[in-house]
Amino acid sequence: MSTQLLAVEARGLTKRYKTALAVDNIDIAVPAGCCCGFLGKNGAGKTTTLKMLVGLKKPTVGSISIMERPQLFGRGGSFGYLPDVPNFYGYMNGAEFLTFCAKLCGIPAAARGAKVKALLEKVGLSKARAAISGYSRGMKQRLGIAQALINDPQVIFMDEPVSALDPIGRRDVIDIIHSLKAGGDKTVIFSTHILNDVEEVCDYVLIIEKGRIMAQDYLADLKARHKRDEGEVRFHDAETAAQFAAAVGNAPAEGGLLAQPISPVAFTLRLPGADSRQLSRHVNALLHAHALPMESYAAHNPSLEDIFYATINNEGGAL
Amino acid sequence: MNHFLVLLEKEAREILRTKKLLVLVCVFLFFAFISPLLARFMGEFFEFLLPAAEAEQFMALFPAPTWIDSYVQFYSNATQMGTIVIILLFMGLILREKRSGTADLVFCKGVSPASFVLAKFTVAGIAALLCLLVAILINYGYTVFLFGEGGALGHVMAGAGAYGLFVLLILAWVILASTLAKSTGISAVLGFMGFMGLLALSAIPRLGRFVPGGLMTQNIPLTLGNFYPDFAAHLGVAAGLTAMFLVLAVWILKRQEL
Ligand SMILES: Nc1ncnc2c1ncn2[C@@H]1O[C@H](COP(=O)(O)OP(=O)(O)OP(=O)(O)O)[C@@H](O)[C@H]1O
Ligand SMILES: [Mg+2]
Repeated sequence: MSTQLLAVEARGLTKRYKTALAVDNIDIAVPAGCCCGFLGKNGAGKTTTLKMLVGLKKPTVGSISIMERPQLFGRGGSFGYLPDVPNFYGYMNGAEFLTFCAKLCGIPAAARGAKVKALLEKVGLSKARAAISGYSRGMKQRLGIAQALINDPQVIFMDEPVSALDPIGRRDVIDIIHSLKAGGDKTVIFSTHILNDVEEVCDYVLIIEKGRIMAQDYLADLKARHKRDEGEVRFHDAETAAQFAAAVGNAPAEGGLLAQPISPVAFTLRLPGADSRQLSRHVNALLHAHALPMESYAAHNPSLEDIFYATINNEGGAL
Repeated sequence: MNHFLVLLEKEAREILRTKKLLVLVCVFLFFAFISPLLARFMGEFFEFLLPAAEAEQFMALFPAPTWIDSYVQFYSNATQMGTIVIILLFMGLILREKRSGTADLVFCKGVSPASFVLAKFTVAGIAALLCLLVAILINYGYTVFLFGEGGALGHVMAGAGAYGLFVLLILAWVILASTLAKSTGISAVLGFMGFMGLLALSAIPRLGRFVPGGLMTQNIPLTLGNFYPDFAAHLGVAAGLTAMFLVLAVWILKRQEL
């Protein structure tokens, strides 16, 4: 194993409020170049963790580094950050606010105008001339994303970037994240409740529950680990399905194929001791032997949703 | 330093666009125009309002107004109402940014609390001092126009300068209050308590020497060219307290979770 550059690393990170232990001694290691989905139920500790990572909240205990440099409380950095509820100076318009941010980031005057224009375009605000006080929540969310990208940061933190957006806006944001990924060198970490988005765009996943990291890995590895060698077969009609059930039931010699009905026309299939390749070969042979036409057969891949539930129910304890 | 300049520009835009400067200008110009008039025509007002006999009795109690009365009016308005308006206008300066989350965005970009606080103080201070300067000049001109004389301009400026320094002290205090407070109400209470407290303390005989309340109560002697005994001490203490409040605000902001 090569020693991989870590975009974000936290050790023993803990945040204790007067009334709650919001983050409980977590270790985080997100490799550079990843797109990392940060998942957890409401109140699990995502916002608290992100705010500690960007230096806005002081960890009770623990250390943080970003791009292998220590990140201290109260210090900003060259990373981008979208807060959970972004707010701006209401008396400015979007372009003015981005120009203000560009100046703070030290972007030279010559490059500012084009940069601001391109970002407004990117987040779909190029037509919004009004003062920010007249922006809708979704428009503020878009402006928040734009300001997080103003200095082409290497690491970008976003707290629920799609939460206030319409379906088109959500698509836009996921596409923006895709485009950030495309370069291959940027690291994006965003919290969300939309598992589909994570499955679409993320290659790394953090799952937090009650202030503890329950899973932290490449999505592909997580899926491989949660893979059960199951398949799903679906028939055109209930009659064929019944014939199939009979065929399975009448053939205990068939190596112990187990068929669990999930609807009148579909079954989940499992063959003890066999992997998914052997399972599919076996099912195929059985269907062929009984001349049963099927509508579809699919090896059962765990969805992120399956993994999420399995993970937080695993050690999360009872609610 | 660069951050400081960018923030100065932002604060200047803020004070213009949120109409705070407009309010400040209007209030002080109002004092400048109304004070000499009130001083000059107070007698006539009473004559107009009261029956002739009573008016005559009343007038007999008061000597004829002089140019000094015009400054008496101005300072009684400016130092009370003016200071209150300044507290009300600026009591949310830090608090509002913390609560709305705009401070988060700014600090994430690496801005230091010192630049943040000092930019706010600088712009608010310059705005208040400019308003005061324009107001006192108008008050002076108007006094000359109505009474034929307006005092030595240098002394007039000394009287106003003392109040100006007091305004800076109050601003620094309001910024500290705004940093400490968790709500606008608390920030306002702290702001006013500071103002009242300063006045109350300066009235205590021995202690008063070291409390710069004189900067807003002794403006008339100053305007007449009488530098009261503790003036120098008050200047020093006011400057020191202003710096201390600002340093404290920065120190607290650095350690605060927003
Ligand atoms: N300022 C605070 N004071 C006390 N407790 C807090 C504070 N902020 C957060 N908490 C607690 O910390 C826990 C984690 O909150 P956090 O906001 O990090 O959750 P989250 O995962 O972001 O939730 P959501 O999905 O709803 O945004 C919660 O139990 C919350 O009640
Ligand atoms: Mg949250």
